[in-house]
Amino acid sequence: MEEKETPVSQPDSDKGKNMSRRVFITAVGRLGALLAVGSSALGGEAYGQAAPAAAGALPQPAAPALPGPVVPNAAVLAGKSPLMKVLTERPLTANVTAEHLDDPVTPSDRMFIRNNLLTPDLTAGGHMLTVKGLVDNPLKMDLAELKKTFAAVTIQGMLECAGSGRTAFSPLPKGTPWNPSGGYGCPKWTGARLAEVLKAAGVRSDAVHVAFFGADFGEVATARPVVRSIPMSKALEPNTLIAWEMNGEPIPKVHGFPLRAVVPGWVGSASIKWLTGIEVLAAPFKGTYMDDSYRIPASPIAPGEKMPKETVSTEAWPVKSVITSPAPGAKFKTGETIRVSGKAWAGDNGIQKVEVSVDEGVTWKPAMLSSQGDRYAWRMFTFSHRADRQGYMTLLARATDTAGNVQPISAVWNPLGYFWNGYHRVGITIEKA
Amino acid sequence: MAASPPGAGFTEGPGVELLQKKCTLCHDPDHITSLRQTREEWEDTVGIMIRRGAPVSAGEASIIVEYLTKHYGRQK
Repeated sequence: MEEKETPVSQPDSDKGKNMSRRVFITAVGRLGALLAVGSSALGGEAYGQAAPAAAGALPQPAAPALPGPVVPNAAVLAGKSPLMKVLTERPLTANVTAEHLDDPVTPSDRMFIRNNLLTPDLTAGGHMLTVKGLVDNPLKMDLAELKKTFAAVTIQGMLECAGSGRTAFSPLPKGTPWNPSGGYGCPKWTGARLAEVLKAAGVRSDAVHVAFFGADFGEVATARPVVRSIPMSKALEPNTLIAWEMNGEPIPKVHGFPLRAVVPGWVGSASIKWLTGIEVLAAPFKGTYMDDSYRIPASPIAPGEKMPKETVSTEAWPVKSVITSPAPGAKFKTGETIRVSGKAWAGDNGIQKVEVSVDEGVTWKPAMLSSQGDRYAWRMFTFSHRADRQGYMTLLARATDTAGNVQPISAVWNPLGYFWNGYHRVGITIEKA
Repeated sequence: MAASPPGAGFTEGPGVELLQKKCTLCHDPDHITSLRQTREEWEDTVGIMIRRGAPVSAGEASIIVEYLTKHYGRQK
């Protein structure tokens, strides 16, 4: 997919015409700016011709001739748990809610799906990875060679969409309507350490970011490729992988078969699927998936305000916990012991403690934490509560990370609805024994 | 609200054909119609989509923003 890659010499070619967006907005006004790279520059419509509209009917979307085979959504979902709830079909996004994520390791068929474009139907044979940019020895190898050259490591690592939990924000920001308790998972990943691959390529001293390029494409020929870059420090972190297995099997097609980046603890979009290219850059990649989304205000703003000029890229997730059992609406009898369990994670940090409240946060008691597993694996917690009073009650969890950050009641509002990490509230009912 | 065209989920009105033709190539109608945004927010949304490669011209973008603001708008 060479044509998708942006040469080092022109890192901003994704925006067109080397024109600063902000300067251009000032010059010609907002609507003018949004047209700066409109159809005159990019040309084209769908890959194929639009089907002729029947008399009196609205024109129907084109039936495109795509550049490669696609896995239809129905086929993707056939391989997933029936518990998966589809949030959007175009692009495909789906998840299970927290009560279905009680397993220590997230089963592949319950892993959330967040596509930006279509699911390409790739084959392992002949799948190539190129490593170029600010390196002394650019690499180009197929999957078999990659596996032969680099030692395989397996880690359990957290992936979570930046917008996970978005619908808990008020006012509701636009974007995938993730429910308050889905959009994350913690499977096991097997692959090469990115640091080893970069070492083999000989990263130059002026390297600042590493960009990942995927093989996915959209319904229209002009759809920009999904390219994201991460800082060198994270690229060299030993848990950042170029992975070919998920839970001991080849990665399922929708999750990036045959090769993907795994940048655990960070916003999921950093972990580019269907990986074909790695480029070492002197600055963060410039492109719509870096500059138009996955950004939050540099300083917090009031809910409902628009994105300020100063923004920062989303990177590591803040501290968060969820209750995975009991399920919302579960019923118990008075005198029964309710066993609460859940998960906690904190981006690049570890978990120091998790507390549970059975009285809407008036009092908190410590939960029991599982021992620390892999650095980017979530921590499991358990808590026991004797159901002494009849009626409805809620369970709340809050985690504290190793840097002392405490999970907030409600996350800091931001226009694109990222990083929801407010308390997870589960309501249950106690009936008279 | 006016009757929605069958199968599209969009409110009838000038610009609906364009929306149907351009936006639903890549997006569920429901995902679009569930949003309520100001004109400025719709301009932003359409602008981002164009930067992501939506094949929409200047004239078409104005019509789409006008339609969305009228039928799926909100006051500031």
